[in-house]
Amino acid sequence: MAMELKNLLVIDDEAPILEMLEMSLASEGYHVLTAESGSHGLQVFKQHRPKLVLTDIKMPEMDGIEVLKRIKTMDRDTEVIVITGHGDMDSAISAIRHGASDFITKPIRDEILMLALERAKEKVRIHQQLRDYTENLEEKIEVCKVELKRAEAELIKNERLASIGETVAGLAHYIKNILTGLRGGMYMVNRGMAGDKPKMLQDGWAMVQRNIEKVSQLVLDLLQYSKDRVPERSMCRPNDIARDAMDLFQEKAGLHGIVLKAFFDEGLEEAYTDQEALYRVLLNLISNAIDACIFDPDTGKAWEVVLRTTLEEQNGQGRLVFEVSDNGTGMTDEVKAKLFSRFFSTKGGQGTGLGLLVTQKIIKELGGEISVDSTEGQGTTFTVRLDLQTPADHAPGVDER
Amino acid sequence: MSKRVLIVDDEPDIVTFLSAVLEENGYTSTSAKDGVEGLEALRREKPDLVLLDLMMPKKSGIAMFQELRKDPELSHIPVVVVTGVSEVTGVDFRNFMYKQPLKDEKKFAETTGLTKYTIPDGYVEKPIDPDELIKAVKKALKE
Ligand SMILES: Nc1ncnc2c1ncn2[C@@H]1O[C@H](COP(=O)(O)OP(=O)(O)O)[C@@H](O)[C@H]1O
Ligand SMILES: [Mg+2]
Repeated sequence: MAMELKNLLVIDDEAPILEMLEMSLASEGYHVLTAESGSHGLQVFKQHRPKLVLTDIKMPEMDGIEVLKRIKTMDRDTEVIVITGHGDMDSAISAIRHGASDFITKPIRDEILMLALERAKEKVRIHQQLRDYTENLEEKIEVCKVELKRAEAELIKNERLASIGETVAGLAHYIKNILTGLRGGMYMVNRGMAGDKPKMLQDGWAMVQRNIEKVSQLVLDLLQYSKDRVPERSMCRPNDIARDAMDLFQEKAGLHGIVLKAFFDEGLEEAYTDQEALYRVLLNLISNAIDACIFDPDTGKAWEVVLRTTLEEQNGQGRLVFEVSDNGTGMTDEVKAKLFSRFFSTKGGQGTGLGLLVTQKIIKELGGEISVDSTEGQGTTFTVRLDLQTPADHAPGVDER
Repeated sequence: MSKRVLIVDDEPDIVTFLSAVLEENGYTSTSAKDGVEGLEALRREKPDLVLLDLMMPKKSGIAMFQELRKDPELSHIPVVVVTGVSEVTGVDFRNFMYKQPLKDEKKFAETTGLTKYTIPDGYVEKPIDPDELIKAVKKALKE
């Protein structure tokens, strides 16, 4: 028995009961402190801080519930067991509501009392473990933060990157998830090789690759965001880019019961634009749309994500429109307001909050615009508009917008 | 026959990893990716143990755990919580821990109409350490 769990305070106004309890508990190896009133009990508690308290409910002057409440405000990890009169369910319920760990009824039977104490001790231990555990985690996160800060210090070359510091914790969590994936994959590769289990080896290797891919994406996103890029334009086919982006998500969508639909405008043939950058934009929008369905608690819905391309004509100028719609969670006004801010994510460790930021930046660099329409609980549509352009628009002497 | 473990986690990588660790130690496993699926799988498969993530889309691990403990058909199944960090989880976790167990849960529920959740049978933090995990599993299974 841990030292501090030996100390036990017993409070009862009836001297014979107090004596009897003291005797039987001492014989079980407890160091018993006694008090014959609530207020005396609190005094003893303050002095010795036992982790276990046993108190009668019905006492003159200060009753057991009051004792319980005060002890819980002083140290909520202390386990208080109350003693109630036979059939007094009301007091028992009231005590439990105020945080008593258990109740026993008079006449007190030794084995029931010991059982209650064992359970209370187990709980004290769990609380302690939980506290150690929380402290431990905080330490680990601190280490992670320090590491990231160091990396960041090397990276800060301009204002934009300085903002990483603001939400380093969110990123730390995201990176931690990646680390878990990498470690898990390595474990499986090792075990798979040692035990000659090709399936485990294969799965482990795929896991390592997937997580390395995640890190590369994160780095790409960070670079994409930190550098001013001049788009690398070429003649390309927007519908093909859209199809490639969509194909990448078929498996994930299927896994979560989400239907992907494509409506491509056949009139849309070529555009002079940055193929890689556009592909990134679509990946970001589609992955968000899929997440919105995955996170949607309304399981009655038939989720779908629709990708639509359209050729728009305005004043003789052709415009390329991408539309990504989902019928997932939709957004609250609060989310809508923060959507494009740095590192804003509602996805905990699963999101970086970089996707839309990068998306917006790319579209700005391409001279286009992005808009969003969303209703909470119903779904969201993101629309991207870009001028089609030709190489002539970018001949020497013509400014990039 | 080897004991069957149900893994409930939304991260496919974690599921793959956990099931590999379990397999290496002689357990078999199935998985579900959120609390809703998790409860369905529980009712269908009646596993010997559940490994439960707390933060998941649709139905959180906490909500699922509470439902499990309320259901007399399922309440005996031991649950080991496997949790990552986030402030949100931290807060929920603590609240959740402070719900105090009762002596005779069933009788209490019947006489008062109140329900009561006992605390889970183990905790493992992410990133997951295989040895720690197996220790927690063994303890929860009383092996
Ligand atoms: N289609 C959508 N439906 C609902 N919410 C969305 C959608 N797209 C983006 N969001 C919200 O905007 C946030 C920021 O998105 P993003 O910048 O891509 O970061 P991340 O996806 O990493 O969280 C998301 O966390 C989510 O809350
Ligand atoms: Mg995103």
